[in-house]
Amino acid sequence: MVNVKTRRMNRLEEELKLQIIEQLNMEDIEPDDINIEDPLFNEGLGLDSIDALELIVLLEKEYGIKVGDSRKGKDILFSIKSMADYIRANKAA
Amino acid sequence: MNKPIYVNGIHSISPQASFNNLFFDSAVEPTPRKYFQIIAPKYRDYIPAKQLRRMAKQMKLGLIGAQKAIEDANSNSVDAIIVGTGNGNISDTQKFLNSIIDNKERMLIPTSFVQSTNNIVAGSIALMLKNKQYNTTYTHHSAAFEISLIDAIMLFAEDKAKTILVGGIDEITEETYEHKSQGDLWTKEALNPFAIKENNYIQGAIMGESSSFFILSSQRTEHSYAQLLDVKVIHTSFESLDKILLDFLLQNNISRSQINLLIAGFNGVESYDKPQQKFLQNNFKNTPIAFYKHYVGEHPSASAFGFWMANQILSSRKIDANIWYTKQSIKLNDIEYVLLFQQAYLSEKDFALILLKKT
Amino acid sequence: MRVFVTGMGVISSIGVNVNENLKALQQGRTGIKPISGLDTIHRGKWPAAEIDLTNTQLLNLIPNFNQGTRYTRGQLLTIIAANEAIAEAKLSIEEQKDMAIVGGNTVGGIDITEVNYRDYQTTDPYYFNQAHPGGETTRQLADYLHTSAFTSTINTACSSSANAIILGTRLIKNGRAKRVLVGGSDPLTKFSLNGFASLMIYDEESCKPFDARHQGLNLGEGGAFLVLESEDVLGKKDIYAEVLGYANRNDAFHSSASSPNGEGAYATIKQALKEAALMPEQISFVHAHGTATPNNDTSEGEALKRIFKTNIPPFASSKSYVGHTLGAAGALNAIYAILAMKYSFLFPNLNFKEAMDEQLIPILKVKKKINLSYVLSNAFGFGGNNTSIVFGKVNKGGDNE
Repeated sequence: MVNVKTRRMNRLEEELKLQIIEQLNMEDIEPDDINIEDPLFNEGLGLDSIDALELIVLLEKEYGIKVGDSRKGKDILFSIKSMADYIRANKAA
Repeated sequence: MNKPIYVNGIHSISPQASFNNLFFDSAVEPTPRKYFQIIAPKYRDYIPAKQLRRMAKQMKLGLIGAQKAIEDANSNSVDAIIVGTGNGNISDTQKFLNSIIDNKERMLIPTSFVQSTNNIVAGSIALMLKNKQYNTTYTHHSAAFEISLIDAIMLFAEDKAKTILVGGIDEITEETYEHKSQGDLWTKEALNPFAIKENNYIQGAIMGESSSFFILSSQRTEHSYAQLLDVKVIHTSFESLDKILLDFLLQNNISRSQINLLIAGFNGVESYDKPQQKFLQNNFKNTPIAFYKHYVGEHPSASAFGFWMANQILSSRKIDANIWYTKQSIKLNDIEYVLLFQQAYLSEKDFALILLKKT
Repeated sequence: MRVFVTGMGVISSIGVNVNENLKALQQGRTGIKPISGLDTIHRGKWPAAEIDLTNTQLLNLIPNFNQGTRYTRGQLLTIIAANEAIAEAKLSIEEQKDMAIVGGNTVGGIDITEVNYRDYQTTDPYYFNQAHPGGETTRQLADYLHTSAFTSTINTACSSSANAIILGTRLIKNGRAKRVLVGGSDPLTKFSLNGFASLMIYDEESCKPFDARHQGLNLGEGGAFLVLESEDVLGKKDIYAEVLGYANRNDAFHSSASSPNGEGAYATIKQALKEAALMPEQISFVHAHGTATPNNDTSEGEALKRIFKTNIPPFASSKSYVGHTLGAAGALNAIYAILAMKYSFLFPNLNFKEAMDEQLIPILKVKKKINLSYVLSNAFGFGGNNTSIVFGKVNKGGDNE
């Protein structure tokens, strides 16, 4: 029997992967290529500061979460997992 | 007198099959059109997918053009990067403007704003080549490319460079065509560009786009295409042009009769072409005239394509049969001096001259 | 061939001419306040350095404007500043006629097209065709002045008009011109405002260059022009300054950010000093680019430390007075640096409370009766474009002081 909570947790991570791939035009990347704990910036997917700003807009548009400080953004955007954790902690119920 | 400068590398991405530096790879199709679009290269063959994903069209074209021109010249490094663009980065400017309106100034993505800056092409080339040298971008209508050449000539004279990358790039989008064609300057219907001939005009110009890059060098090689003698850019009236032309040729120790071939920026619009024709005929009685906007359309950096064409001609390569505007023509081997002349289409008073010599 | 500055003209949020700007600098008076002119959702909230004149009012500052009813705000700012520079240089009609022109701007006529963007079908085609791209701003100036000479437009983002000064200087040194009108302008637009906001580098309060609390820039609008003349046509003219050295280098780090160790800025300042044949310790004042973005301030700060070591000369950014004027910024920085030298004063870097770096404390108070012999002016733009220019004081005899 699959734990419902686990299912929901994974779905957000998977959703994020697809949104990031689409938003950042990463045509060659499949969701399975991305490990949710891998760093998104510099290594891993190799995103840069402009991509960070795009992800900040994505968080606001799709999840209603405002990241006012781009420096705080660094921690939130570290990996898919950190993004998902932040969304779950801050999204309106 | 300027130091000798040679054109050692050329490249043009245009609406014709010019990519492999042949003039052309395949026969020209005289299809009626409202505007010209380039034949896009396989971007992935030249730019890593990771970088390609958010790259503006102009950036892609500029990066490839720079690579190809450097490859053509077999250069190891460049000492300066100078780009001319009359309209700048249109697609990203439009994207950002549209997003400001559609999103009512909220939650905007910065990518297209950053890429809309007119010097993004020169800047990206510097990034690609990790080149920290002199780098600039000119945006003065159709003289932008010629001014880039003048800057390069000065750098050579100042002993600040041995190899310089110079480019001219302008793009078109469906939206640009839609916006600009509201007036009388541009054709609203599809026209055959090959209907443009001496004394045969069309009712509105056909827009276009192209991206042409060159390597200029103080060293002549056996692969050098031509020698760049001098360039003049001037904001003035037609009345003053005769004297300006004479002074320009005199400064370069050349008489009008020595010019074997003229290359003009005629675009088929009578009010634009006729005064230029008159000026050329008054000064160069029977000199044959070639032209190029029927290949690439009217846009500020079309003259960079004209420069590409001139270099093809001067290195006596195979040339397309449709270059002639006048009935007269001339054998390639008999051409020693070529003068390019053009006037800005949207500004009656901005002119440019380029003088090239066979090497 | 020596090159001299014989005339200057400015219009900005702190004054419609050089004199008004000078007074504001000497009084430490800012032109930054909540946006009131531009039609934007941020009006009344975000700060900017607007010029409180409508286009019609700007038009009234231009004698014999002969371009009919079609113009953009950038064209008006350009002509106003250029006119003052030419008047200061006391150029005759003849001298004006073959004067080369090099202008810089980043938004061209977007002030008009952005407002009419969806109404293009009913907008005068002039705006979407001619006026939208940058070259038209300079062409209008040349037309207005009836010049018959080399005319050019540069767009290297925030360093555009500094590159204009450099090109003008080189045209004279290369014998391609005897005098050149150089400078730039930009109006405030929704395009730029939203652009910098989307990069999260627009400070929603007054900007704080070199301050630890810096959050980003405030935009401004303006026009700034200089007349450069070669020594052999100088005659007995008054001289503001001599152009002693200049440099243009690319950072090659990122399209919209400078390298943290200030590599590009360092190389540029070093080259400009070398061209001027000066040692770092001879520089009396640095007009920093100082946009108040963490990235610029850190990068430029590092460059200043690397060049000047522990003896960083007095420095300030005028962006806390006039905002970031984009296309006008390079020329504006140069003009303010020359004014400091000419009138022997140092103006404070406003809004500074907390140092981001103990070694980088800018000028905090106005200082008068300070003899400045050589000044350095920086301007750095997107696309990694870096410029630095060194100006020297010249007495009537033509010697550097």
